Amino acid sequence: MRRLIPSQLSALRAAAAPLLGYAILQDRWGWAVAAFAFACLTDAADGYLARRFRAVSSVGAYLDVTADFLVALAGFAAFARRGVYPAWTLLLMIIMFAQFLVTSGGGRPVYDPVGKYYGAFLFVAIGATLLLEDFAVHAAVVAGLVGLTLASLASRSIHLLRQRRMDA
Amino acid sequence: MTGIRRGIVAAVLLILSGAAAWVVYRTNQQVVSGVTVVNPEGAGGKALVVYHPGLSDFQERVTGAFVAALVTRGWRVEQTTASSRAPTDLSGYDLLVVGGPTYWFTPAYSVRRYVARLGDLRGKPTAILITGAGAVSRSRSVMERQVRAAHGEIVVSLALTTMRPNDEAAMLAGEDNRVTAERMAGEAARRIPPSHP
Repeated sequence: MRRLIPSQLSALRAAAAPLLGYAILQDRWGWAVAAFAFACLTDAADGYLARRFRAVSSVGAYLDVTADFLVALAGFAAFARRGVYPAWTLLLMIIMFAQFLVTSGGGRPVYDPVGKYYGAFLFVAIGATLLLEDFAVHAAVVAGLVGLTLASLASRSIHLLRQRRMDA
Repeated sequence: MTGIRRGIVAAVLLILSGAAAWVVYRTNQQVVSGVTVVNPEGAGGKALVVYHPGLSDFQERVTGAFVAALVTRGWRVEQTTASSRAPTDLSGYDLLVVGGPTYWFTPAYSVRRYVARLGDLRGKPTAILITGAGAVSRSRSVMERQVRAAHGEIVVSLALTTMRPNDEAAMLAGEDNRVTAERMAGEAARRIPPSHP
């Protein structure tokens, strides 16, 4: 039973995503920070508990990444709607998530070396945007997002090519 | 930590540092432009608007709304960006408008530098138009202190944001916060009486 806890935490994180987006849109900053803090805590806890309960699985890994993606997408969509970030930042995130799904091919998830930091960056970006309301922070988030997206795409391509060569 | 892992961490840090350096450079960079005259026939007074356009279009929109409202009251407006080429001889102007976005919780550097270059404002009526994401009160007081220290007479001081509601009632009524900011800038400008009615 307790082996299901990590996946349940990921599912709860995914459920917090609409609340985060709605709170930002409705100018409920307290609720937005609370929803975001909950997402961060469950993100830290699900991986730890999965290892501790020996419940690491591909399904759990996909659920974890999907929940992270939904939280980031909800946060950035709400920020974009309020004019904080340009709408194309959402497109970058969707492309990154789609390439993760496609290159993993439904089997064991393939994590590229830079991609591991991508999700963490998106979470830091949402936190910084909520807590440090400054145009310079926003500009740094957009610049960092573009840089990391390009680096992650390059690193994933190299990573997959090397894996293919090793398989061959 | 393996060599490859160390290299990846270093590459990620390098990318993020590069992004931060780009932002520091862009937010401190002055934007040079010519002087645009709006309503050259305006007989209500002569206003000089000097602002930093910023990285988004928000400051531009707010400044545009302010200028448009001044024009409706008969002002002739000369508009330019805060740079080393912006006019510093204010003797021919009845109103000075300075504005800029908030970076690192202070007004954009080029605007502060411009006001510092003006020297003594000798009681010149001055309007302040600060924009920001949300934390703008410090930025506005920095600008107000600088204008007062230069003996400028503050006739309008506005701090408008994208994230915090500029007008709670308008936001509850469903008005876009950025549209509210433009409206408030226009209303503030319309309250400034023409210098030569």
